[in-house]
Amino acid sequence: MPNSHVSLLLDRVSLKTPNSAHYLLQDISFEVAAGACVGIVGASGAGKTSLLKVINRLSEVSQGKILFEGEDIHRIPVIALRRKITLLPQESKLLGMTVRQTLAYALTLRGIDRSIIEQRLQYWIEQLRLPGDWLDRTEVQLSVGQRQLVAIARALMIQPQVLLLDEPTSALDAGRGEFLIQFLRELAVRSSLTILMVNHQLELVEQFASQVLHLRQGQLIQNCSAQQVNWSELRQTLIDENTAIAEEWM
Amino acid sequence: MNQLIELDLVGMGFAVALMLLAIGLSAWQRLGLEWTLALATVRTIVQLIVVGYVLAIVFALNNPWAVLAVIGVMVCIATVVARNRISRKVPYVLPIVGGSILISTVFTLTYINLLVLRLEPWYEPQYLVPLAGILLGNAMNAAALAGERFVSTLNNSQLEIETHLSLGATPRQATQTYRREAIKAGLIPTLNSMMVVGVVTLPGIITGQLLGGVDPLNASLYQMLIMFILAITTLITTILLIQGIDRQFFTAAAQLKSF
Repeated sequence: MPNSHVSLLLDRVSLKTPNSAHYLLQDISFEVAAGACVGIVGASGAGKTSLLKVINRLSEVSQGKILFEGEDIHRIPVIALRRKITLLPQESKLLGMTVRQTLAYALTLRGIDRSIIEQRLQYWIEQLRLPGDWLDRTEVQLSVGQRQLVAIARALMIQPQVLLLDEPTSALDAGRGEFLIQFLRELAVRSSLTILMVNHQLELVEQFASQVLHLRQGQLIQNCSAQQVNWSELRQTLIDENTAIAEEWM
Repeated sequence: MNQLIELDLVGMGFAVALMLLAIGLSAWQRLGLEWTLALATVRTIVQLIVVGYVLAIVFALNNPWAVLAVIGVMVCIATVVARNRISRKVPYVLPIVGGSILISTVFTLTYINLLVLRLEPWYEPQYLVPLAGILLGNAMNAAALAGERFVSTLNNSQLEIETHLSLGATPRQATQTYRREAIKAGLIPTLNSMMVVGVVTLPGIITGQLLGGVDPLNASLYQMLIMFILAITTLITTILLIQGIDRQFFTAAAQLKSF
């Protein structure tokens, strides 16, 4: 019987590139408890983004299965699944809309009442401390970091049960990055939101994660609680992995 | 009205001489277009002589199957040309293009045959063949423009589309903007020519009819009919085409594919 406290369970999940035998993910198995903050680390090309994409079915697993709240994700209608498990891609796109329109977008698609949308919008911009004068700005009038914050607010507007974040702090200054990490951690505890975050800034992962997944060449080589991680050793391992990849590319 | 001046071989020889002049100008300016101009000239001569004879036979036969066969061949050629300009990689693109062009052309020809021209017999080649030709030529160009634009936009906007999908949009919702843009792109040449017809340009049909000695007012009415049927045909073609291509870009699980 599936454990009711388990939010996500991946069982021997593999992902191959189309028309090729190359594995982007190989034999990945792990469990995530509801409300957990999972930090995913690994060098470039380790399969971190691919892992996030199979969980909300932007990519289809080649083998293995993924359970969400004990149910195989293939049995959940895919659009409904993505409203429960929402992914934020690494590059934040406002989709040619103003900030106000993009924040409301996902709820507008579902025909949710304007007043409810407005209420949620005010709540999340306040929570994330987004200045009100951003609301009428377009993508080109915001910095990359500002777009990242808007994209996070947009995802939270949906009120998902699982949030998949791909490098959400990559363009934020140190202060904003730390604020966001702290905010997400508190949010996870407060509302049982499960968050899986890919992040190459290890000091932020250290502040954020209750569980750490370390990927290397598509394989899960470490899955442990944050307390069990030797952070300086992990930092050195990631530096070595990135150096090896950089040398391979040269 | 004066009758059409028949072109003789000497006159046509001087017409071909213009292309020799063009080749000479190309060589002088080092444009590197001499062979292309020569090939284009030869193809124009051969294709139009062949089509002249084929149409003469079809007009003489006055048989519905002969008319349908000619239109069928034109549809096939328009389909292949448009497909080659869109993409060879997108699955089923040939039947999608062919189906879109065929459905829109058949719809328009049937409509004007029943309600506007009321041809007797319905397959009157003098009307049906040239009308099908002008519709197919425009439908082909609109399909190529819209299809090429749509395929390249989808391939270049993967991140945006996956962002839509991640937020719980259906594939149709995710590509709505791109579909509209592509359909507009296919329609713009027809709309532009409608805006300036008679003011800046005299299109082929009216020019041909005026040269053929037709009353200018009647020629204008025909041109009006042509503009209206071109607009509806290109619009139907591009809507069907874009819907068809759009479906090829997504799996049953609403995952974006790229080509």
